Amino acid sequence: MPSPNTIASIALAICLAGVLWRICRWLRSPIGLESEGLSFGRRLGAALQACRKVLCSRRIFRMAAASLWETLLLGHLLQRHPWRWAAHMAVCYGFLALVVFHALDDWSAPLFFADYVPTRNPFLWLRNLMAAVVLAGLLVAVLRRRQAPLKIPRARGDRFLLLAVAVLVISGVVLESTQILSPVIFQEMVEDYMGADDPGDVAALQSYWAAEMGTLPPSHDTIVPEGVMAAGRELHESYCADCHSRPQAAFLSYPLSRLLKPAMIALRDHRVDLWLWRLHFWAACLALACLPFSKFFHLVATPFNLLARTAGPVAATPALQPMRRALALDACTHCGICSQHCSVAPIYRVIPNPTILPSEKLPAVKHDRMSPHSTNEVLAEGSFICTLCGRCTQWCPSGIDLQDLWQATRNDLAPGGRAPIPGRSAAAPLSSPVVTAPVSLGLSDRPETFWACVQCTTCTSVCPVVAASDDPRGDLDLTPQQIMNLMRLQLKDQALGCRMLWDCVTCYKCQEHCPQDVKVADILYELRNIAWQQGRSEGPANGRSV
Amino acid sequence: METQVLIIGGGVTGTGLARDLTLRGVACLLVEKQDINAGASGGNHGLLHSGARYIASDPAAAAECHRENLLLKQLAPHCIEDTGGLFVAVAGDDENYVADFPAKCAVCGIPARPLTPTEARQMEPALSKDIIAAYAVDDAAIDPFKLSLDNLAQARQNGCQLMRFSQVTGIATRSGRIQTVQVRNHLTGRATDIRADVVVNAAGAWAGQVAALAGIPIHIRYSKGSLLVTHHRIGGRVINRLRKATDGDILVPGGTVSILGTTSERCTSPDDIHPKVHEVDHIIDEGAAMIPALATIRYIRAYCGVRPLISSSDEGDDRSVSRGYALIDHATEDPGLENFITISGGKLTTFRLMAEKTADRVCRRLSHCSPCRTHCDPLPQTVDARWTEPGLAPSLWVQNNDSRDILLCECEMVPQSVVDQIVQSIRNQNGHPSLNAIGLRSRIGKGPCQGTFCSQRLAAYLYDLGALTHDQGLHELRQFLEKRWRGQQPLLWDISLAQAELLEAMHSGLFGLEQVDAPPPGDDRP
Amino acid sequence: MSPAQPEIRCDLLIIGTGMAGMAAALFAARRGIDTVQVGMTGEINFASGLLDLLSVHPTGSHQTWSNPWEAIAQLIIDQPHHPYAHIGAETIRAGMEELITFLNEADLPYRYQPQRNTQVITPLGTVKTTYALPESMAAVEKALQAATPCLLVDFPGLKGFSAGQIRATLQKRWPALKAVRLPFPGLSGELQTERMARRLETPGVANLLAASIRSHLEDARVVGLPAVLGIARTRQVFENLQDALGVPVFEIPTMLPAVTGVRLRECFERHLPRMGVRARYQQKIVSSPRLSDGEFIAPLGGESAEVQVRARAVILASGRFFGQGLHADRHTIRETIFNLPVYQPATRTHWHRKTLFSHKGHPIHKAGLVVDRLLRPCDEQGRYIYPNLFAAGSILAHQDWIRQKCGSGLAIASAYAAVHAGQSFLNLTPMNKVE
Repeated sequence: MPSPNTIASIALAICLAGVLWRICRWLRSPIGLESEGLSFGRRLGAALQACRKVLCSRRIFRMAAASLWETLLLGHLLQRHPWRWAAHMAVCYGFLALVVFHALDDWSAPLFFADYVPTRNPFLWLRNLMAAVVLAGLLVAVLRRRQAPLKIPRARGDRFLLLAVAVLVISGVVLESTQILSPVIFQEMVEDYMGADDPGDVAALQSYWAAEMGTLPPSHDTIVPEGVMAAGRELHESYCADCHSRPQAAFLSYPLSRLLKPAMIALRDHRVDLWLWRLHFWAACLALACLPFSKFFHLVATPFNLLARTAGPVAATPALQPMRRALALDACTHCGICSQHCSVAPIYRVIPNPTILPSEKLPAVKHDRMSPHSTNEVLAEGSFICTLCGRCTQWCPSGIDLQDLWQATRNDLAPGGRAPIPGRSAAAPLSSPVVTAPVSLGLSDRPETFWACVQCTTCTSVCPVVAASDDPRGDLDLTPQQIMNLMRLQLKDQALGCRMLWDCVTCYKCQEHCPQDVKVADILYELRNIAWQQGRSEGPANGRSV
Repeated sequence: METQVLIIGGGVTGTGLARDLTLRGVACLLVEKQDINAGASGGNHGLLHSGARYIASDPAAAAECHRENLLLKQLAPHCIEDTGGLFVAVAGDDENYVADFPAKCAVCGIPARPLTPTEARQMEPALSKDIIAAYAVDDAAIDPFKLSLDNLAQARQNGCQLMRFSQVTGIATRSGRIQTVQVRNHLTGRATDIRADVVVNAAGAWAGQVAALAGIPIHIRYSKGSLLVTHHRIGGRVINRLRKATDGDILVPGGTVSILGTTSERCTSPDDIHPKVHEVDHIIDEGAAMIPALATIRYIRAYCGVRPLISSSDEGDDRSVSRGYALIDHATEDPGLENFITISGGKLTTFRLMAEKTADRVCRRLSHCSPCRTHCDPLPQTVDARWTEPGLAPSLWVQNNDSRDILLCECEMVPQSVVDQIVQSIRNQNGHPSLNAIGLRSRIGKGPCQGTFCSQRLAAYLYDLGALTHDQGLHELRQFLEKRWRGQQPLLWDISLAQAELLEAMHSGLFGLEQVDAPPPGDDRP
Repeated sequence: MSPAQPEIRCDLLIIGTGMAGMAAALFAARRGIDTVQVGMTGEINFASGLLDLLSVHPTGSHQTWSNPWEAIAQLIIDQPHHPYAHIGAETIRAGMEELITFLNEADLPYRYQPQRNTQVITPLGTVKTTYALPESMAAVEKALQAATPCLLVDFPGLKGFSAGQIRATLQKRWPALKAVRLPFPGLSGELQTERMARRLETPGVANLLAASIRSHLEDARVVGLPAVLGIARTRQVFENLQDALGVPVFEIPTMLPAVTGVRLRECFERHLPRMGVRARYQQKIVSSPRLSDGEFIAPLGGESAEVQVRARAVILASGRFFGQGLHADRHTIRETIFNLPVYQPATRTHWHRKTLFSHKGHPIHKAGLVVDRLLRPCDEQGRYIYPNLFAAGSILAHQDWIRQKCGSGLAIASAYAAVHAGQSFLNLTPMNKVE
């Protein structure tokens, strides 16, 4: 059996190698047109040059401030999502404290505290506190997810990671509680520190520890005479008290040890603590080794990404762009905020293609684009429904320029520049209309809704549904602009029967590109709901195939 | 050329007279210097008066209006939207006038049902909260283009000849009679001499000019009235201000829009009149007292017409001059012409009556004793006129669902097939289907874009049909857009200004239409 | 979750995504200025793709200048308040060249003769004078001058574009024009240029089109088409078609909005963010920016404020009435974002002339922001209002881009000058140019 130090060193080596591998992957990123013909060396050179420029510019001060606020304090999260922030801070800093003051206590503790002893207060208490903080953070994270407004699919990896942290912390707490109970450890300690020459003394001390320190009592129950307890306390004072505080301060593991007591009596001759210690240790080493290969790598990637953004144009030269995109892919924490603000998220309710949602598109891009020469029709559909409105970029707490990412990947996804046809794939269940908005916002009945229209036909020109049709009049009856004009002419009935309403994918392109801010998509959406309410759902009722 | 009766002027009176006479079996020829309804017949509210507006100023005309109102609703229902109307007074209006209103209506035989302000606001929610009195009357909306085109269509079926773009350039008289009338087509430049037994001057605001050619002075005052077309229809009924007739006090719904007017401004000539900025502002401010939304809504265009007021003096308010018509038989006047009759003044509502009275006089001159039939024969609906109706083209287009039938005008949703029909109908009349002629006979160019897009789409289509050749299209485009401009120019603010900027950016910035040599004078070319 | 607005800091905020806004963002990015750009889809969608510099001066004359630089020199003498006079010919030239260089690098090649204007034909059959034009439109000038036998192609269902109209209208000047109407491969019914252009980017479609044109070529030695040859891959579609036909091909601008504008917009939208511009397209300034420690704080968002930008300097390129940089009610013209004073005719009566195509142009077109030599908006006394606010593009007063045919030139040159003025203000030493 290799020594724990060897194992830990191997895990650390794997971790470092993994980080290096990740960084090399950034440098080899194939994402975006700029990546063509860019050698590894040139990219590395560009990256180093950008670093040099940044370090020599006045911007470095701003970047320092930004990294303090954004990466260390997660300021952006605090402003917008206080609960999310709380969960993040609890897990992150609780765990960090455990790593520094507990996992690495041999090295780090003496730096901070001359008299560090892990079994003494306040360290005993603090360790429990940190574990409690991490667990509370995990709880908040789980509960918050249950209440997320938009149900986005969760990757298995996410759950695994939450689980891994939970296992690590819980195993630590259980380990501590078994250590409190363990008579074997007690015996070893007595031999090491007291020199067990007098069985009476040992028995006295053991009695005292069983009564006051929570250790399992000796197996042969004897009645402890009055004086023995006093002798035990004396022995404790002289041999143990320097290193051992009363374990009641361990407010997680001590109560747990009371619960585990009956089980430990049965297992008193087994080294349960050693099993648990191995579990705890292996879990920690495994987590360390897996760090660069899991979502937790965002601990490294996200600060880098935020810094690269703060660096501005210096870090945005064409040679750096592919690298930044790969970095961005790693910086994603899959928090789902982007999908909550995505302007085409409503389409996901109609077309169950998860890559419509930015939070799901990103992992798909990561999977798809980082492996060369792959084509993915599902991803292509999702990509082209995106209107590049940029809202995801704006909300991303990791500072990822998602808009750029979509733009860069889109070019490669559409062979021949032709967008895959959104909304017309066989999977699209258009037979069930979407009635999620209030039936009528009253937009379509208000004349001023249509005042601003200058008849430029942009709404029709940009419509992906119109573009996908070889004969829109035949396929859709009316184009968006024609519907707007019928509404303006107060011929609502003529508009309500048309198929365009049902084929509209509510991508909002029409509305976004309207030069005069006419709410084209909102109106179409409203009309669809009105038509459905009126039972005029000509398309679905006829079971029209799409 | 020879004919029994030469009618000068293709407005609603002239076309109504042509129908009346041909129904009596009298042959006639109608000459019009521009196109149908180019004058006041096209420049009005399209209001079929109940008569209540004139109870104070001209009770006789008011009663006449009411009778014709009922008659036309029966005989020409397809030209009329029987909306009903309201008269409303707002706080601050002359209370004596309000108090006298029901009695005066009763005197003229005009029904006016009193309403409480609450009832009125329930009927028309757009009305101001400051309404103090309201009456329901028999007003209705009427389409003057449809009316004239249908009158003309039946007249032509019965043998009436038509010369458009033909201006009277001279009238030769001898011994108290008109011998020949010289007419010049300003598109072809060809002059024609016309001999007629009777010549009727129905030139409206130009009646004075025509009479002057025959050496007869008629004193006409020109009163310009400007109106505004709203972007969308406001309310279901005609809404009048219950006060002495003045500016900005009538709002008439017409299809998908409403028309707000008018002003009364003296002008020196019936030619080259424009609605002006201050008139527009005045109408809006006045109208907004009655209907507050009028202050903020989008307007599509403004237009104006000239009321020809025949009077003996220059004094007094133009509004107080009788709106009754003037039928002048010059045989009985001095200087006299025995076969010359002038009919002028009057209102759209009473056009049929004016035509009837004129035809009676003509028949007396011709010793022709057929009775009038226009008061009992319904006015037939024709294809020629149907496309001026808002909402018809889009409804049919949606129903037909023919993917080859492309919309040329997006705002009013006018497809190619409608243009085909209009081109055919104009060609049947030996006319040239110019952009403006098609605009007059359809809704093309009448929507919010005011020709930004439909003008060139129509021009391209007309080239494809072979209806335009050489660089004709450039000149017709300019004329078409200039004609729309006349109506846009005074109300360019807010979104309309943005629309106009787009129009100019495309037609001037990109296409350079302003650099095309100015078109030859005249409205159209062959 | 409380909707507290996060704050973004930047050196330069560019308001507007029209030609001026895009050009300003480009110039700023190339100079390493930390830039945020904001604006809804701008007027650039309505660009004809032609980059006019100046061809008509004075307005009211029929004179079109064949040398734009001579025209500019004359204009600067005659109209000392014209923005061109503030900017100066050298800066105008530098801006134009830098922008065209960018377009060429961005695979949207442009052609121009440095010293003279060039001519193209329009769907009306008029001849338009411009300065730089897309490579895909360039072949028309030579063909027009030599009256080369030419085949004009149009498509049933494409409204407002008739090859027959162009042929008939240009008959005298270019008798060797022929017109043919061909079905567009794969599409029927009404055609929109954007839809056609995207179809033509599909492999094979351009070849189908070429095949159907070829059978009508006869003696034609050049072929003209409406501008529908692709959007993101125009060069490839154009070269493909030209190779397949074996004769030069040119595009004719179509009615607006046209794909020529979409090409420019997408090109900028693709490249600017890569160059470091923090683009916030589809957002606008939702309420007037306020000053704090000399920096502008501008709330951005879709409908309501979603984020705040704190900028050390601002370039205002929000356009005129169509672009919503200016707004007019019945009585007055306002600047919509900062409520800056707007030079304008005294009353609405004087905004427009009685005839639309008046040579002199409408006085309202000269309305706008009066600026000093550094393009800072000024008050009535000619004093700048903010030291760090600059204006560019059509919002500037004392110009009539529509009549003078100087829209793109004005946008690009004023953007160039404003960025330079902004850069001096920011006191940044220019960083090495981005490759």
